[in-house]
Amino acid sequence: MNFANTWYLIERNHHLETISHEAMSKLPEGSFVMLQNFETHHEAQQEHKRLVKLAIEDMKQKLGG
Amino acid sequence: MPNDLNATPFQGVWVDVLTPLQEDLKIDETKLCAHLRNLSAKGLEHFVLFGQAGEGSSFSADEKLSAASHVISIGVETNHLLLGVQSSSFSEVAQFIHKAHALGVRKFLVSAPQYGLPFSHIALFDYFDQLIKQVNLQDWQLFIHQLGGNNHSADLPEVSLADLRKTHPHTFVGIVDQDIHVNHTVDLMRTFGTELAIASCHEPNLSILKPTVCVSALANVIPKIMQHLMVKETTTQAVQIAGMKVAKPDDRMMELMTLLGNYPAIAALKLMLSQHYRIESWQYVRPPQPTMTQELSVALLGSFKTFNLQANE
Repeated sequence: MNFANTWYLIERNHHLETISHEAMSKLPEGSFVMLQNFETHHEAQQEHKRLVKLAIEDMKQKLGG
Repeated sequence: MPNDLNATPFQGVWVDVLTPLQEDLKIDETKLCAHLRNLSAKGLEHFVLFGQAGEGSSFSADEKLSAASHVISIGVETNHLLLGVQSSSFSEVAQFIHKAHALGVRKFLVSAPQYGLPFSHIALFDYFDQLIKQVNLQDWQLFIHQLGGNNHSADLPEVSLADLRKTHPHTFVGIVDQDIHVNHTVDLMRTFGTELAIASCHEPNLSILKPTVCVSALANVIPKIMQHLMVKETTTQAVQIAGMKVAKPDDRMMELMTLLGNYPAIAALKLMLSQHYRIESWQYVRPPQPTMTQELSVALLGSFKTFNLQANE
């Protein structure tokens, strides 16, 4: 499988980021965790948004809202 | 698509891929592709589709072919696929192999017929001999799926395996042993290890067997750990603090096995993936696979939270 033009959802410094393959390969080793790979930027961003929304929901529930 | 059979030897970790379903229990091909893409990005690029963990016997030939075609269309190498085939009719199996071969698939995992057991060793040899003759193609590989189970009635005895290897040395190239008993796989390795690839499916046996290949269902959840286990690396833990006990891949794999315990394995692994991806539909299994009751799901998810799966595992 060729990942050259694909996009990733990564976690870095406790934050989710959408990042291209090229940009990710320049990050220092061990400075991030790769979560998922996507064929397009749009797909990666959609998943990014979905996970952020879920995290907000989780937090609301924790706070009793 | 060019396809050199020897270009991809049957080695390393082959993921026994779980099959995601939609609410109507049809295969969710989009999620299947996304899962394979993620596994590939994490370094595992060899896949068993519709094997034991993939609920292979629950899907029709058309469903399997459609999913395989979709998977190939996203760039999974056809040589990196081992496609499960389950039927009691050799002509049906041959027909399926022909259609999948036309898509570029060359490796097939075929189990013995399941109806009318038990069969004599001659009858089982005849079944596979006829299958190979009916397929009548040169460039494909047969892997026999030994399902194990309580009395091994569905397994080919060694004499049938030996005859088959002797008669069709270019086609019959490997065995995938589903049996959890380490001695069963050891016996196969002793008898055929020099001429056939023998894959073990029971992860706790890997440290004893030290095989060159495994077919792993746990790899769906802990791909990096399974990779480390097969290359015999010692640590995978990302965060290491002086004085803290560092979990070895073996420890983490055994923790996961313990956690799975007596839960229905496929439903339990799918529940874990549904949690990992935060996608509820990953939980669906096809009847007759046993499902998780609400009570069991809550208990397993609680333990899974404690397991604390890291994205880099």
